[in-house]
Amino acid sequence: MNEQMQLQIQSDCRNVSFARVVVAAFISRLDPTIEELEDVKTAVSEAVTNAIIHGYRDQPGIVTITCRITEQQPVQQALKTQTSMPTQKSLQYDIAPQTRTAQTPSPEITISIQDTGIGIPDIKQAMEPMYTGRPDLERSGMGFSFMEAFMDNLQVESALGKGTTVTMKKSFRKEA
Amino acid sequence: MNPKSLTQYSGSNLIIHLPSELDENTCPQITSELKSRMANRHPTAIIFDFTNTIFMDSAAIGMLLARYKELSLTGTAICLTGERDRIQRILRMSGIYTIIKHIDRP
Repeated sequence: MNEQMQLQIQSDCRNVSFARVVVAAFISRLDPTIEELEDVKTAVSEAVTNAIIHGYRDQPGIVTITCRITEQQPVQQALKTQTSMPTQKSLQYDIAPQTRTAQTPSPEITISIQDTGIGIPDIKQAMEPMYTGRPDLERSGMGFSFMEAFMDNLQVESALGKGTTVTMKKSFRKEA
Repeated sequence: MNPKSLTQYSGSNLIIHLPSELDENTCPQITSELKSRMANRHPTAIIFDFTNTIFMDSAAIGMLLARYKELSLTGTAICLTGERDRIQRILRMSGIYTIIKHIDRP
């Protein structure tokens, strides 16, 4: 089952904590560990802050946060379900404890943070640790490094004058 | 928002009781309060107390680096205290501990 939510906020730093809390509340239905939840909150905080201070350079604008939950069906389950279709008996066998681990869907979240701001002139440079596009502010230049560290996958698309979309993925490994 | 005063002198040390969340919204407020408290006094050390802090992102790293750069010129030491595991993990990742030391309760 796939679920999605979308949140639009004004480019005001006071909304950053609101955005990360909303995302955390949405994904909490996946029963993540506290560590996983904190990882996602930090990554969202970095991306939304970037949209506000780099994308819009503190000018008014809208940041759109989309979060999608995808339940990945492991291959084993698809096969088992097929073979178990004919009889009720084999269906019961399928939910035996030893097969449950393999069958538990491993959910994945995809979060995209989109602005329609100035865009990033050089994405490779922007993603370098310690590089900041705002030397006028007290920025560490570690935003993208944190997103990479705390999520499984990070993609940055940007067009000058059109805006930037950061897409991050993380899967939650379910242990029995 | 943090209406209460976050800073407090203990002898010649200035202690900053950091709020529960450190991000691009709260860090500039802390910096401005810190600067106003240092305007007419020259502390021996500044102690960032993380006891109440449960969330931080790279904005806090930027704030600590900026204070380190400024204060290393004036001879004022900077220390961190009260960091819980999560906070320690982020500080360690950023390499902050190579320049700013952790101390146990002041």
